[in-house]
Amino acid sequence: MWFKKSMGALVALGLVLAACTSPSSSTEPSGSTQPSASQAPPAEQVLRVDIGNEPPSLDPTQATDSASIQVLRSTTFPLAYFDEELSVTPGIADDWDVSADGTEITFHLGDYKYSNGEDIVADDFVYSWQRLSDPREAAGYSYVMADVVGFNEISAIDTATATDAEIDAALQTLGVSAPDPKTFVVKLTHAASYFVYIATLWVTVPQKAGMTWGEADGYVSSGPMVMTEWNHNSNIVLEPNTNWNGDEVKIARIEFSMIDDPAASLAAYEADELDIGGVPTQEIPRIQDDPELSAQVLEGAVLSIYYFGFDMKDPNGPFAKSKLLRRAFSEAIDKETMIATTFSGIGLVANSLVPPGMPGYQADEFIPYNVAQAQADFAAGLVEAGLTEADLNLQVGYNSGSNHEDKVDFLVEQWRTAFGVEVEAVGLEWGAYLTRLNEDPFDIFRLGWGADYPHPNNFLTDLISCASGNNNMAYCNPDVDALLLQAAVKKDLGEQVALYNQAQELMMADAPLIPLRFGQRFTLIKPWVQNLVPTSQDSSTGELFYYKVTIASH
Amino acid sequence: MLGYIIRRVLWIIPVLFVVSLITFSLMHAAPGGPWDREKKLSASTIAHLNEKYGLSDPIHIQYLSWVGNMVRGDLGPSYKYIDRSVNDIVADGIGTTAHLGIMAFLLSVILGIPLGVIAALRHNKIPDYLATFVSVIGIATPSFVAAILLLVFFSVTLRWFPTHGWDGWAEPDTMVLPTIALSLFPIAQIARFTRASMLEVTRKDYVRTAQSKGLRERSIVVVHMIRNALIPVVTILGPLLAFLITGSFIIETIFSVPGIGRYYVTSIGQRDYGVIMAMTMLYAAAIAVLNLVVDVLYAYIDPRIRYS
Repeated sequence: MWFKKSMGALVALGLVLAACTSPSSSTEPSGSTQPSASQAPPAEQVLRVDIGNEPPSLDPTQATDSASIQVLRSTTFPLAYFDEELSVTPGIADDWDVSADGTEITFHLGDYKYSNGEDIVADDFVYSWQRLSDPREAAGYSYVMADVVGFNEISAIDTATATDAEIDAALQTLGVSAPDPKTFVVKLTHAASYFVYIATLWVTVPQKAGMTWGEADGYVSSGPMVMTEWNHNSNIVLEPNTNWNGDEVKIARIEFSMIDDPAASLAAYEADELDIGGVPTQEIPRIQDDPELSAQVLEGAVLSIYYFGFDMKDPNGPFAKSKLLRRAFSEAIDKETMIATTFSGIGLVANSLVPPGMPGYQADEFIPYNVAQAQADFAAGLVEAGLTEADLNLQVGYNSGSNHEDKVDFLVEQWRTAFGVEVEAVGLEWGAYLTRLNEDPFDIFRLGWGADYPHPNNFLTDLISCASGNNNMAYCNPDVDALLLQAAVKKDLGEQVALYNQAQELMMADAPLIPLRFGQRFTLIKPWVQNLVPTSQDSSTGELFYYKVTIASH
Repeated sequence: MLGYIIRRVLWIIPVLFVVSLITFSLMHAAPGGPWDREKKLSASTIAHLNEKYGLSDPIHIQYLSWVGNMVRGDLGPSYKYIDRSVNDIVADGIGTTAHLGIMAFLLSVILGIPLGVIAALRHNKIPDYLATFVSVIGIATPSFVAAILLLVFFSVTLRWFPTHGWDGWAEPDTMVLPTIALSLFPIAQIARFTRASMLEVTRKDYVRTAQSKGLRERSIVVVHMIRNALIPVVTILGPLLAFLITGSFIIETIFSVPGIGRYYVTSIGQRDYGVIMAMTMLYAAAIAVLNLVVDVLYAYIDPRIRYS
C-alpha cells in the first residue's frame, strides 16, 4: 500500500523534526516555566506578568518600547529614580549638586555592584552616555542627550564619511566626565531643571564595554533583578541580584510571558496563569459586570494623552489660516460622551496637554464644549480664512486596525451635526500613516503621547515647541517657546510650573490640537499580589517596583 | 525520473529569484520605513540608521547585496530585534513551527480522510450530513475565532490545558490546543476533498466491475475506491503541508507559540526588511519543494503518470 508507506515516511519525518526541536526545549528546567493548567497557583514568591511580545532589545542603550522597558526597569538602575509619588529620589547616585548657573550637575555615586560582582563606577556612566550619543549606535532615545555639551556636534557627524577614529575622538568631547570613581559630572549647554529626570531613564544606566544583551547567558544587571532565562518569543525569568545594594528585594522570581494577543492574555489571567492582567477595551464591560473580576480591577491615572492635531504645515490649509476654525472644531466635541461611549468610560476628559499626576496639570477647561459657540466660530472662521463651506473638503486621518475607527466616527458625526460639514475619515496602515504625517499631514489627524519622565517639559517642549520633531501640527508660537525656555532654567519646581502653565495657556488659546482623553489604567490584579507599587509613569502597572512585590498564600 | 527531478529542482531557482525580486520591490515601494515611530526619531538618528544598515544605497545595490549575502547563507540583520540576526530568529523558531505544523498535518490527514470516506460511503445519509456539517463549520470558522473558543473553554473554564507557551514533548499538554486549532481548517478541507473524490470514484467502471464480480465490500472500498480517490487529495496535501510547517500567524499569536509564524505579519508592519524577505523566501521554497514532492509521488501512486 502506497498510503501506508507514505504515512510511515511522514511519521518518521515528524519524529525527526520532533527530535530536532527537543534539545532547545530540554534545556529549559522542566515544569518551572510553563504553569500547568490543573495545578493551583504557586504559593511561592513568584510574580507572573505578560510583556506582550519579545522585547526588541534588552540593550539599555537601544531599548525604546514598552516590553523592553518593562524588563529593563528590574534589571537596570539609573543615577536617580522615583518614589511612589514620582518624586525624584537617589538611585545609584546618593545625591547631586547643580552648579550656580545650572549648567553643571555633579552626581555622587553610592556603593553599587553589577550582578557579576564588579563595582559600578563613574566611568561606566561616561561610557554609557557616550554610547547613547554614538552616531554608530543610532540609538532611538539618543535625543535625550541633546542638552549635553557636544551632543549636537556629535550627532551631526556623517557616519558615511567619518572614520571610527574621528567619531571616537568626537565622543571624547561629550560633556560627561569622571574625575574620580565616585563622581560623575555632566555639563549642559544651558540650564535645564528637568535634566535630572533624564538621569532616571533606562537609557542612562551604567554599563561597561563588552557587555552583551542578546541572551540571558552573560547578561549583566545593574538593578535589583538579574536575568536567568530568556527563551526567545516565549518567556524571560528574573531572579534577585545577590550583589544588589538597594532596597530589599522581596520577590524570588519574576516570570515574563510574551502573549501577543490581548484576548489570550486576559484568558491566561483568568486561568490563574498570570498575576497581573491587561484588559482589551471590548472586554471592559464584561469585567465590570463580573462580580469576581471587577473586584480585582485597579484603576488609576496614566501619564498619556490621546489627541487630534490640526495641520498647520500647509500655509494655505484652512486650519493654518484660521484660528477660529480650529476652535470651532474643538468646541463641537462632547468629550465626556465620547469617552463614555468609545472608551468604555475609561479615561479622563483632557482639556490641555499636561496630564493630572504630573506637575503643571491645569484643570481649566480652556475650550469648553459649546455647539452654539462652535457654529458661530465656524462661520467667522470661514470668513477669516476667506473660504466657503464648499472649499473645505476636509479629511481626518488615523491609523487603521487599532480601535480608532469608532472614535474617529464619533468626531465626524459631531462635526456633521454642528456644521453640516462632511469630514472624510481616512485610515492608513501604521507605517503609511506616519509617513503621511511627515510629508503631508491630514487636515486633522490622530496621535497619542506617553510620558518618558514625569515632567511637563516632556509634554510641552517635546510636543509643541517650534523645532520639535514630534510637533506634527507644525504649530509655532515663539512666545510659547520663550516661556518653555525660561521654565527650563528655573530651579524651583513652583516657578517652573507657573511658566509651563503660561506656555500651555498661550498654546491652548491658539488651539493647534484637540486634547481628548488622559490615559487611565484598567488592570486586573490577583488578590494575592501584595505591595505592588503602581505609578502614573508606568506603561505596565507596577513595573518600576516589581522587586518589592510579595505574594500572599492562596 | 532522476532527470525530471533535477530539472524541476533547477526550475526552483528562477522561481525563487522572481519571488524575491517582486517581494523586495513591493516592500520598498510601500510607504513608511523601519524607523517610523509614534515618538519620532531625529533626522540625524534616521540618517545614521540608514547608513548603519545600508539603506542609503540605491535600491538595486541593496537588492544585489541581499542576494549576495543570502547565497552565502546570511539573511542579514533584523531592524526590530536589534541584537539578533535574521538567521538567529529563523533558526530559533523554525523547529517549533515545523513541529507544530507536522503534528497538525498528521492530525488533519488522520481525521480528514476517514471523515471524507465515511461521508461518501454513507452518501446522503446521517453520517454524511454529520461529516458535511462538521467540515462546513471547520471551513467557515475563522481560525482566530476557533482558537479563542478553544482557549476559553478548555483553558479558562475547564483548565485542562495551559493558555500559553509551548514546551514540545517535554510538556505535551502545551501542544494540544495549538495543534487542534491549526488542524481544524485542513481537516475540513481534506474531508470535503476526499468525499468529493470518493463520490466520483464510486461511479467509475472499475468499481462497478469489482462489485459485479462479487468482491467483498471492504476490499472494494479499500483497494479500489480509497486508493484511487486519494490521488487528487495528495495534490492539496503538498501546499497544505507547506502552509502548516511555515507557521500560522494567528495560531502562534493566540497560543504564544515561539515559532516563526508571527513574523509573517509583524515584520511587514515593522518594515523589518530582512525578516520579510526571509519569511517570504522560506514559504516560497517550501511550496516549490513540496509541490515537487507531490508530483514525484504521483508517479508512484498513479500508474498512469510517468515522467521522462
